[in-house]
Amino acid sequence: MTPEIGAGAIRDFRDTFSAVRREVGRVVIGHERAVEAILTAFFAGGHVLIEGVPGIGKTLMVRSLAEALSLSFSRVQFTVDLMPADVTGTRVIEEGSDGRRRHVFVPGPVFAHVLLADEINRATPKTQSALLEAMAEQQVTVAGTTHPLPSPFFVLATLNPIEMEGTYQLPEAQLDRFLFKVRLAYPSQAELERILAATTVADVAAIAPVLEPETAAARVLELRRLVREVVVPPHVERHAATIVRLTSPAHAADDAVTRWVAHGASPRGGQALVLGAKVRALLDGRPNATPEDVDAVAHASLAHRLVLRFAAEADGADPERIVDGALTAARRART
Amino acid sequence: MPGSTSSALDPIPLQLRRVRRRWNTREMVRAGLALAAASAFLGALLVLAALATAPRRFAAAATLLAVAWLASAIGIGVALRRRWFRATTAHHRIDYHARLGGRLAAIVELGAARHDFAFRPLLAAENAAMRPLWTAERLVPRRVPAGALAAALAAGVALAAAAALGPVLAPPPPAAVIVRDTRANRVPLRRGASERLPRGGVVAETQGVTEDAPEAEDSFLGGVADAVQQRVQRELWGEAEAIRAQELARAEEEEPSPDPRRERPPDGQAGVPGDESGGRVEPGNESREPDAGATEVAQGGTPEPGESEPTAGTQRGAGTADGAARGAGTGTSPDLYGAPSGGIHRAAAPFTLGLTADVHASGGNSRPPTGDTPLQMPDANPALAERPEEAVAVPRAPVPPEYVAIVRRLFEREP
Repeated sequence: MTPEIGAGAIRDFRDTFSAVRREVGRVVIGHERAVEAILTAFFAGGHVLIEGVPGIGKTLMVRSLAEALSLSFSRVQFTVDLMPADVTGTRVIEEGSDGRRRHVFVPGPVFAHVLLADEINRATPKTQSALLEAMAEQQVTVAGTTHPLPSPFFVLATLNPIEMEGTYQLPEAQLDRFLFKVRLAYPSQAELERILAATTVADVAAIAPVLEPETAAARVLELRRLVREVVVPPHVERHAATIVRLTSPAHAADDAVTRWVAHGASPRGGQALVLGAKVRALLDGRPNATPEDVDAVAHASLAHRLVLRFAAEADGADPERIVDGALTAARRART
Repeated sequence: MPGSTSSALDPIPLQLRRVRRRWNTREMVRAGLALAAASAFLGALLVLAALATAPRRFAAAATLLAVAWLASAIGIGVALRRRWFRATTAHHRIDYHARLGGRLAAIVELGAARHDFAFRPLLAAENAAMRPLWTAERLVPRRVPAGALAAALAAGVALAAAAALGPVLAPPPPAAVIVRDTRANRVPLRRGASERLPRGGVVAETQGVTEDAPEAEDSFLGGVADAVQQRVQRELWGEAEAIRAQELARAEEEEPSPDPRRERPPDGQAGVPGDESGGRVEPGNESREPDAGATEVAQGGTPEPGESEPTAGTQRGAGTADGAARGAGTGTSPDLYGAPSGGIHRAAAPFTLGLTADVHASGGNSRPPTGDTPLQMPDANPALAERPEEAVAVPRAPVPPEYVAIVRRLFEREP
């Protein structure tokens, strides 16, 4: 890749990213940082877990993203009686024109580029596992037949932090499969006023697709490949690895970690750091990642991967504070 | 690495070395200036403390200043170490200071990597384009940091000002000072000699006085502090003034001894010469053997004609005005209380100096005097008693340092 081509590719990535962010921002008022984090995870090739109270625009955000990217979108409302087949699809007996009956696979809602798994913690662990397996393998197996999922495949799962009765908390191993966890904060007064003004009029803003529908998937994959090409120097890798290790009680430099954390972030957390840093580097117009890029995505990458002790819950400890301590210690070690 | 990118990156190591050398030179200069500034500033404080505080307080102040200097030196060293560009990390530091976005660090670290990557040509091209942003002259425009230089100059000015303020901080106009040669850690003065002070008064050295002077500072630090203070005072005030200041300071520090042995010498004898420094004079003891030191002052002083030369009347008046006994003047120098004030003395109207002292009996009743009656010494100069003259009050009596504490206590209250 010549310098000119490389610079052009980076510019194209930035333009696409900015255009999608701008389009989503037309209908999703506020949550700018959340939208940026979701787009970062999308282009890094990961999935996102969104935590937020009902009615603050989670579904709208995901739908807008899919529309802006011209990708297929489906939504599954997870309930306690939802079965795995309701997510992955199932085989049905279909009678052909010749009168012969045969088993035909009917794809479930998981067969879409962008899937919104709404309130994923309301489904049983069995159903959750079906989805999470699809996320990890990017394929589903039904009756011994493996069906690849469309690419790109992007899952946005939501968690409702209230109404916890009758829910099944996601196991840590399954939480680990989400590249980022994003918290949607309650809108501010000004944002709320803008939401009320924009959503109660006759002409609600519509999303204009940024990518051509025919080539959208290929373009997204191309941009994801570009992200992987970003240079990560050894000192940046070292910094990311240090942060991940510092979240573990065995290597902690912070008392909070030893007191509150039972298990630190996994190597997947390190991968999330580096991939997120690469996207940040491209957004900054650089072909190389820096430790600052890593720091910028540390909270979204690591906070949900920490397995906290009971003492942490009793003390009301915030995982983001623990990540803060690890970041501070890693910066100190770097200088 | 492709040939084109290799040629673009060739000058980078050389430029890194140049930047590193220039940066480190500046940091060394900065550290030196900072150390000089700290030393000069603390030195100014030390000079002021040496001139304005008593020896014991100066010892504490000097210790504090020494600790502060040590802390400053350590801090400067730590800062130098932190800011130093090491060969292994210079590219990171340059990258940070020149805001290169990690490009220089990336290309330097990946320069030796065998595997190629798609963005390498772009990274190399960007580094080549950004080289002018981190030249040695651009990153380190001046070898001498202006802030550190200004601080050093300011501290130097402060030190010079402190030295210039030295004479202002000299103690009030002096009296004659008796210097005990048994005093430790004192500025040496020739034995038996005297020296005129710049603003009047005389410093004289006594010989062979075995006064139980207070011990000098026992600790090493105390001794060093004492020596430093003496040195500073001698440099800024002159030798004689320094001696006088030390004696004054010591006299003020020494409280009258509550030891009854000092109040009343054993065996009914007169006080040991030099006991006057203890601050007590008992009735009846006025006619005892005069203090050798006082005699030395009288003989060694070289008062100016017309100014410090006492008149005969004054001498006699001084002997009678205080109501002393007949033998009070025996062997006593007319300049016991220092050089008289000359014209002012003669022109001033006589006045009565009332002295009162609060006396408290511990048991509510007075106690009879104890001990032997003091010996009556023969009058060595009866002529003084034969023709008493009108008492002339001394308008301003210089007080020897040994009596300063007593006189101050006496004059604390209105009569």
